[in-house]
Amino acid sequence: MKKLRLGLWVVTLGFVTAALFHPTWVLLQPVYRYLMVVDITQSMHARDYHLLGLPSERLAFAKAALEQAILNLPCGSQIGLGIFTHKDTELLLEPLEVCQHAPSLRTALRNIDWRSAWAADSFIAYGLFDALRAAEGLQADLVFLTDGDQFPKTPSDPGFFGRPARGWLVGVGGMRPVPIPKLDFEGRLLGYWQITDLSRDRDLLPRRAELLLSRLDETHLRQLANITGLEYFQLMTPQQLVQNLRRPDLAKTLPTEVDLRPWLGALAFFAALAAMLI
Amino acid sequence: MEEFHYRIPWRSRNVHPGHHRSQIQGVGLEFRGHATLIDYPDPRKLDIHASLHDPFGQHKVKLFSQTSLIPILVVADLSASMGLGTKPKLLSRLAAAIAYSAYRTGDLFGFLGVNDRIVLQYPLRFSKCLALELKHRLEKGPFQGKHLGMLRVGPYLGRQRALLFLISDFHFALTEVEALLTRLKPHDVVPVALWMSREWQAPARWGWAKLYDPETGHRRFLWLSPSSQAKLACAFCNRREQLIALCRRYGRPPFFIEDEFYPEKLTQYFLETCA
Amino acid sequence: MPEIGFAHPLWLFLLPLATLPYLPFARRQLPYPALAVLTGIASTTWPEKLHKACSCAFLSCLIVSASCPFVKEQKVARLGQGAHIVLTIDHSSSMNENFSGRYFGGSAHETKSAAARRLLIEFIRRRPKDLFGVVAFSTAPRQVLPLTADKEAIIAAVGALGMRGRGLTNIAPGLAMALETFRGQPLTGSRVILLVSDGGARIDPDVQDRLRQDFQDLAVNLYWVYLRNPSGVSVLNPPKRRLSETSAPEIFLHQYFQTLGVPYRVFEAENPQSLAQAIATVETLENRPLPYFETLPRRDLSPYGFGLALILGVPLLSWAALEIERWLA
Repeated sequence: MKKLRLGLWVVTLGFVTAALFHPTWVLLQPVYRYLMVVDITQSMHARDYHLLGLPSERLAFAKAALEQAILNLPCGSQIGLGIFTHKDTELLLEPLEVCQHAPSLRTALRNIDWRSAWAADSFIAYGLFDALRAAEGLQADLVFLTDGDQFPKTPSDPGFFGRPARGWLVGVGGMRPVPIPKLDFEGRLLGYWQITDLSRDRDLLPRRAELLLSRLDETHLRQLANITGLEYFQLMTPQQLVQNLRRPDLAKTLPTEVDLRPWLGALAFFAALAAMLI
Repeated sequence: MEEFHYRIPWRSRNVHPGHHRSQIQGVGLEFRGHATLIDYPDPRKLDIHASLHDPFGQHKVKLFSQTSLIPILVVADLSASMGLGTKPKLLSRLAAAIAYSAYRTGDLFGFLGVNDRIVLQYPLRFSKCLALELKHRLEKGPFQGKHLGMLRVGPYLGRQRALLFLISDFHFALTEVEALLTRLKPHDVVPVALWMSREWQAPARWGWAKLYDPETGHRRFLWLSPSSQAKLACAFCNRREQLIALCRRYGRPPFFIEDEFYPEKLTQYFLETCA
Repeated sequence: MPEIGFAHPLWLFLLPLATLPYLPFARRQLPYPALAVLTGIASTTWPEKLHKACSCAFLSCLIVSASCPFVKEQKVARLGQGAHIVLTIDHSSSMNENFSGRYFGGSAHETKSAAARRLLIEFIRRRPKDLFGVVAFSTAPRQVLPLTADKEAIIAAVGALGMRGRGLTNIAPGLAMALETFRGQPLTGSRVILLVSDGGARIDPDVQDRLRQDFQDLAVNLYWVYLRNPSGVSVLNPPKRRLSETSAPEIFLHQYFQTLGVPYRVFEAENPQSLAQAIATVETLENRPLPYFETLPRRDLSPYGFGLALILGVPLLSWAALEIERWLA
């Protein structure tokens, strides 16, 4: 009995001494490196999300979902930010580690503003290909959030000649057509876009006094996803985005050192407790 | 079966013949005096020499004391402290030896096992097998509780003066020992102290122990070092002297049994105390 | 007051178990009948109390160390040399040209945008005490990051400008947005807008007035690093010919900036070397006393805890070795 007790004490002190040397265990932890590009064109103002506590605007909803993703990706993951408008993707931030730079990332995400758009037209295919080039340059996977609403409607997409990419094409918005709010430069609601508001030289459109409606153009987005190798899903909840972003096959492995001291400390604790109580 | 010889310095009043000197006049070897044949008409004991010398010419007969038996009583402390170490074994050996010796001497034997109350009682009897029974019974013995029941055994001891073996470890306050001896004063009390030398010889030179008294539940911390062990032994020495002094005042000095029971020593004890 | 944090706080739930040595069943006692005999030996209780306290402290130490406590990063207010700088960077398509004015012409020369990015990143790295913000502009401006001490994020934002620029050089909205960055911030040091552009643009008179007002209200210094093509006009040595606002908007912009009523300098850079020189000059200019926060890195306290546990544990081990477990029984 005494031998057992002394043995336990020696084991305890052994664990404590071991813990003093700060042992670590190298684990391959899944981390992610994403470039997140948000569509900031006018149609992203349309309001078709109805979730409690979350904004209803497509752009604001997408931003809220991305914020959730920043908060929920494992430490060591990196996120870059970009915006898409017209034919181009503009990079805002190169990928940054999500835990250490979460405040900066969130501020930058909140600062994304539709007013940074420099043209009202949008050609999603060009923007997507641009984003894919940027993501390839940054060795990141792409997350492209758009409602697929393209204006003016183009009969066909340009060909894709890049390498098939990994990542997500995220459809933002709902299936039901909703009107697009027209905002002034301060963000106040002026009314809704009418078909007649569109510039006159685009004669292909019927000229009727009718609201311009926007819905998630899933067919087009699926098509784009198919040719670029991305996967498509419709954004329903922030959790769903987080879940998809954390999919293991998109993970890169980062050797992380797991601190063994808590475990050694706990083992020492229980050994000492046993030595005291038996 | 171990046995020893015991003797008493007083006279028994028991009418039954036995082994001990008594106040009863009868058939014996101890000459008590002369009486007239008229008073004790037993011509077999006619003392011719005394009759011739009698100035009144009366016939004298010799009177003798008979030897009587005495009751042997054992009051054993069965409190929790007696259950430790080799004490139960010693106790059972001792009790069996007393019972067997009483049988062999021809005395009545009674046993009272006491802790908080009387838990084991064999009334006075003359039995050969009691020794064996006691031996087996006491080894298991219900050693628990305190010794306080010993203060209340008086009524169970009978009216005759008995040779009473008071077996305990006497590990309680001297005032309590004194109170106990006072109550047992009608009897010839032989205090038997069962001690173990391990009680003052610690198992290690250095160390510490948290001790508790199984009877009172008192606790204390004891640090053991060569110097504190000397103190420990000294405490027991003092205790022994105090016990001897106290018991002497009430008759006999205590008989100490340390670790081993030697019946011869008990015989010697009786020889020394009843010279 | 330093704040203490725990890397693995869940372990702390075990902390109540550290009081187990105080519970009665944790007492190991030896039955000893002769306590009444020992009255002559002085009884002490402090070794037992000390032992219990030590056991309790040892267990607590282990648990607390296992939860890896650390002193949180502390921000210590210091007074240093520095400034609040908003980098206002032109990201128009003309920035993709190199200094010779050719679009991806000579492979030996880096583009203006790349040179500016490289030098700015070095600049940021050299100024650890400054707060930086980033505003990029082409046709429309965008505020990438407000004033922040997160240097890596600033570098990532400046680095992101290495991608191809697009659109026109539209200075006014960019400046307006850069000025907005300062609005509402406490005025604790010198404020600087470092405008990096390769050309000017016409600014409407009413916009000019509004910008002038803002510059004065917010007390912002302006430094314009003008990345000039060799063929472009020089603002410092304007050609002696009649200029119009459309042919040489830079001259007029320079004239306008001089009327702002706040400290203003222009640096002309024709090549990466002169650009580096210009940035070095800005660096020497903006060295005024600035209260800034220095971040002391988090300090791990767990080694101290385990050390203390070891210091407590060795006596406990020897104490356990001295315990007498069998005596009379």
